[in-house]
Amino acid sequence: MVLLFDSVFMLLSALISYFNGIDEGFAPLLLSFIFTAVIGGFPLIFVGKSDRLSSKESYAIVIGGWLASCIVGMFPYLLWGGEFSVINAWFESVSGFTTTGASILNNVEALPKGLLFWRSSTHWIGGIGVVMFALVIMPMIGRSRMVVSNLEISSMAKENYHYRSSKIMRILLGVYLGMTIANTIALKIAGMGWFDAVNHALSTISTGGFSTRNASIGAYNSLTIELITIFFMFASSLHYGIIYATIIGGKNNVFRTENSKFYIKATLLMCIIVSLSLWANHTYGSLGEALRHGVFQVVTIVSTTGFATADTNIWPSLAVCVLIYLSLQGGMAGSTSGGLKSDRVLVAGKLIRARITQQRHPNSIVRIKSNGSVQDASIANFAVLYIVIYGCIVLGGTLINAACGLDTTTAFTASVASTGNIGPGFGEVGSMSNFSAMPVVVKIVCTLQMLLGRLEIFGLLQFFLMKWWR
Amino acid sequence: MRTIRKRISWGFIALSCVLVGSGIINLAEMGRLRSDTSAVIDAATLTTDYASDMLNALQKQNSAVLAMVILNEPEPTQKYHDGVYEFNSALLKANEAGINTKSVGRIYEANDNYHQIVELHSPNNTEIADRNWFMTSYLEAYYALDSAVKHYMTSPSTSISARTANLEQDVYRTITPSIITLMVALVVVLMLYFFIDTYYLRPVKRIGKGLDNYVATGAPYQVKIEDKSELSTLNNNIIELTSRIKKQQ
Repeated sequence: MVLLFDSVFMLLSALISYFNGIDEGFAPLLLSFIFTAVIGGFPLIFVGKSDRLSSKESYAIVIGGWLASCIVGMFPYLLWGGEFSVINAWFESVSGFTTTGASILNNVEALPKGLLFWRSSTHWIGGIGVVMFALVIMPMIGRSRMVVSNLEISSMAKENYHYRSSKIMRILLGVYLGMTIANTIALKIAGMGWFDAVNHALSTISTGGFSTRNASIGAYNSLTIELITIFFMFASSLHYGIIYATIIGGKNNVFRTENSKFYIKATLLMCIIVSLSLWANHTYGSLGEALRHGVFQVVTIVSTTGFATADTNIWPSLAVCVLIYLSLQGGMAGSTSGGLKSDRVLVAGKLIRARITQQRHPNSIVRIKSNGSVQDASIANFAVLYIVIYGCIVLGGTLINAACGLDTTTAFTASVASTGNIGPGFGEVGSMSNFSAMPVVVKIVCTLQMLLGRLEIFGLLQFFLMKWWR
Repeated sequence: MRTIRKRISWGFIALSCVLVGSGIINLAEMGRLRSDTSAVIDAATLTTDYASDMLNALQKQNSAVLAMVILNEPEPTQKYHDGVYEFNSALLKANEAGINTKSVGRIYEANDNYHQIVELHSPNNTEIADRNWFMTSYLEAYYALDSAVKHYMTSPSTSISARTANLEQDVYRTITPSIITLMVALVVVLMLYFFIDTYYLRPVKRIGKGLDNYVATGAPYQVKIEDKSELSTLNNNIIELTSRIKKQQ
């Protein structure tokens, strides 16, 4: 079914190429549609609807669907040629579906329109897949059910116990679709053409980062477009349940939930720090310009979108360090963002504080609370465990990148950007650069990190463990 | 109920779609490759023809001017004017063809300069068309024009370099679909094998084994076939048959 969904978007992309004067993207996209539709629809010929699937089988289907999507996503790129070798096509496809947004293209604008739409579509498909995976499939897994569901569902947890999966899916789809349409219309009103507006909306709401321009959002040089993009990037990095609660006037809205308040305050603080740093170092002529670029880059990084309006390589060290921290933190759980997730950072911070308190008062019992309710110790421990494993993956990626000859900044930030599904790092993979010059090994390692980050590490690891299948 | 024949037919239809679709796209890409190749060959042929005509006409003009200098005549013979006409005709055609217009522009400039030098020896001008004039002013203009024409003939390789790059892309796009089609077809065939084995061959084996046990030892026939097809019907009939036999006993 996942592949059939992918094939629909391939057909749409082919139609766009068709109406663009049957450009060079038409044949590759049409052929890719045929391939994907056949491979995706083939099992439906034999497998009946009434067949029951265990939770492991459902899980395998989801993870397998992700991997299969990344493979079939290569077809249009491979068939078109140009800069797309096998490794480059794999990189671009994985970067698309994992909503990372890192690209190997030196000239995005040389792509036919159909292929540009396909790139953005991979983001949008990947984005909805992430939310579905996190909120519907992961809680189905045995022992980690409570742990994951409390982290991922977060403030929606209480309400969620009263919802069936079908309602959750409808809410998620509704919010996702609604924001995409709203973003498209807003960008069109702001002066973008329909094609660019749709593509950027697909990329923004999924917090992906693929643009139809080489200079990304900066190519438009429009404050209105940047403000709209900032708003929707930030909204997309909030928990979808919280967005829904805010829209319907529910209790657990964005202004009352502890996790969202922490996230908003942290982002605001970082915006101020970065903007002041830019202004103090005279990177830009005025405070207004510093605010404009500082806020945009902070929001694009914390939401793990990866759009660019400025070359962050020339920014002062403090601003760069803040951006690197935000790359690691990422957005909220239950959104399309990547990174560690601000909820885990909050829980880890509370655990540290609890530990310090307990050291001062050894006989006291210190509990960690979230939104007024006491959290199980295993949740906090799992958050710390996740952070440690995440750090190990980033470190491992950095070491491999460095072994391939990259400088320290590039090696580290490429690893962080890939694992956090952000896209741009610093150095040779900065906001105005791309991954085209990276060695093949680095590209492969980065794609692995993208998949690990997007599938919440354990998701992908379990899939490849024989023990789990027994 | 989806019959086995229907399912396998759909399976082969799916495989055919892959092969036919790929074939059509391949044909289209080969058509594009053929037209781009023709364009490259045509461009090269045309430039060679026009340049050849221009060089022949220039040779005529040169012969006439040489004769003028040797025989000490005031102006060149009719042969020169014929050569000018032929040269200008070829140059006009080259210009209209639109291939390598920069080189054509250079030929126009060199041609104008050449005629200026030669026509200085009309009765109204003062310069004497002697050996000294021939060896300096005239030959300089002649070689410049000759060089411009030869540059035009050889430099189409630069103006068609874009087309040659297109040829590479066209070849890639003709071959790659075939390779990917083979891989996809292999995947589809493997999937077909897997599903036929899982949903038809193995159930048939289970039915056979169950019947063998029933016949050999009288053990109750307890095979379950969940898939709704002729096999489940057959299995249900066998269960019914064995239960009737048991009742009669």
